[in-house]
Amino acid sequence: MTLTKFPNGISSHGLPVVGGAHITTGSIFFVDSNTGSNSYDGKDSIHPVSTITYALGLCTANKGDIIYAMPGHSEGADVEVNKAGVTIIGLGQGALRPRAKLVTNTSASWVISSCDILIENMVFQTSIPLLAHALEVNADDFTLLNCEWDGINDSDVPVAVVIVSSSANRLTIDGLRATVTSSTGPSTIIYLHGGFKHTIKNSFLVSGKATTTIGSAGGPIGSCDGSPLQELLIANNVMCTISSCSSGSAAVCGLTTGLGSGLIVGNYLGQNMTSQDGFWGSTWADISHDYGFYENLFCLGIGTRAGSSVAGITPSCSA
Amino acid sequence: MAGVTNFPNGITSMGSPITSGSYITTGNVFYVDSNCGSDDNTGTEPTKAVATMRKAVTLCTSGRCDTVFLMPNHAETISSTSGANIIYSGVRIIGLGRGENRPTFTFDTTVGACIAVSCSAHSVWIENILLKSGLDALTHVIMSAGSEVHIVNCEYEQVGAFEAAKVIEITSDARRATIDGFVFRGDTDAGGTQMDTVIKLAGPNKCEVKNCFIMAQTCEAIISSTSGGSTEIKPSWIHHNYIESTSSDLCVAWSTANLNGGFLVLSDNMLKIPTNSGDPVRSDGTTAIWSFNNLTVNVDGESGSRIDMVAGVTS
Repeated sequence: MTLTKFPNGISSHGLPVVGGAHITTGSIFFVDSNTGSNSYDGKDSIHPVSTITYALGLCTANKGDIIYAMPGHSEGADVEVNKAGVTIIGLGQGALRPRAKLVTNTSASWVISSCDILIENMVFQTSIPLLAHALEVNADDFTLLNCEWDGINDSDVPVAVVIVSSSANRLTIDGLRATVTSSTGPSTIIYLHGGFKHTIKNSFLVSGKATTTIGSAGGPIGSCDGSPLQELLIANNVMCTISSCSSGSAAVCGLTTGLGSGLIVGNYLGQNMTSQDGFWGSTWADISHDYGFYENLFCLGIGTRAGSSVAGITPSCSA
Repeated sequence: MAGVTNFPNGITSMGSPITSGSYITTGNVFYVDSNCGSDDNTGTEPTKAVATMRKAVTLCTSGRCDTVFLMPNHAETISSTSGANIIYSGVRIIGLGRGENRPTFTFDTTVGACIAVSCSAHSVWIENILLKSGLDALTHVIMSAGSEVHIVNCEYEQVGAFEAAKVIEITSDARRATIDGFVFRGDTDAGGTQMDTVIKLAGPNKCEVKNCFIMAQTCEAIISSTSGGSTEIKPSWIHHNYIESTSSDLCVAWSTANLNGGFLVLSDNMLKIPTNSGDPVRSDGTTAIWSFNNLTVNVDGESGSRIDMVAGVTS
């Protein structure tokens, strides 16, 4: 006797059964640039469609639909994620995780234009120097889970990996791994233009030249256009800056007094220049009034250093 | 009301094999069981398991993330350098069972006997297997020349006086290795050829070692790296481990050819060494190690003190 196959899928208590820990009452689609075709219906892994963009067109908004990008899938064009409530999950591990390749021009990107989107286990890459940004978030409740930025060549780095517009609230970035190491850029890895209740946690962020690892337009997290960052949570991240740039090279940059609130807790910050700060903003007195800083450790300088509790901030630094 | 519908030979849904647990794959699934399997079988069902992991790997397709389930109590003896080669990318090898029921690999006859991930095989995943020494001075027990290897929740046991020079070795060709939840309780001198190191990272490139529990007597450090890092920034991360050196006073030794290329973030580790004057963490002076919230003790019952470091050594 052999395996019993249900190529059209099975459901139990009305829920599609496909294995794994994801539960949904919506539809499931498979995508594979290697074996797929947009002439397929994408409803099983034997007949996947070939692009995530096409799969998004098959989804229904706000139904909890899931798109599984199969191991080795490569999305070579821009993507606008415009179906609310869709989850995009990359299958596979290591170098076989699905890749978003932003290679057309410096404005290539994934744009999140609908609410309640989750993207998990994807790798974002470029071969374009000074790509503007990899992900542009313009809608509420976007989650980026266990994803990675990995440049095709180490010299191909974006100006920012993720930018978040002031109209987007309740962003969650959890488990992001990003190493951007060109001496020509970028400015930031996560660029916050405003919004409230953003959470950035459990991430490992290394910037090789950057003025900031987390920051916002022009530097201040408070946002240069006046939009505040309210109820911000930055927790349990490792943020390192290797830079020859002596100014504005803080790990978290741009906390502007009077315009924000939140908690910055349990982060480990490494800087190779002794003149750099852990956090940069207005004055420490003002920032500490608006934001709670707890249990952040800070290593300064080249060589072996142990972290000390510090929240360096210009114009005064405390160690 | 009817009872549960059973599919003893397994089911697929939408082309994806359905197994219990939280695992999803679009690749093929194969089963291995040394007790009732045969390498003449198809391996596609538990009742038609193949007998060896090597056979199951040959059934896999590179790049498909095929899964090989090693059944509880599966046991293999590897007696050659090619006895357990993994040559295809994306293969996931998952041991089923707990404790002594975990699939077990014993290495004997030649010091080169090991589980080897070839340089052509990237993104290999090895999980929940028990590794045992069956010969003294084994070169290494798991060796990966393939990038992006994951070694998850595996354990090594020293048997009698049989010791390995290295347990896990990641070669300089391999980048982005992840070692998660590795256990080795080797705190007593087994009487064989003393180990060099437990985890060797040659030319480390974005490697991660986490959630491990390691107690060992070694000539060198428990976790060591060697020079070969590139000029590109390739940070590695060692975190949330318990590491106890019972002989060398050295838990982590980090050495790379380039300051930025091989820098290390060391965080939230518990490091135990036998003496009060030793250095649990050491670099070669040109390497950046950023140390956060690592604690060290040298005497049982002592409260951990946070490591303070200056260039080159701990203090």
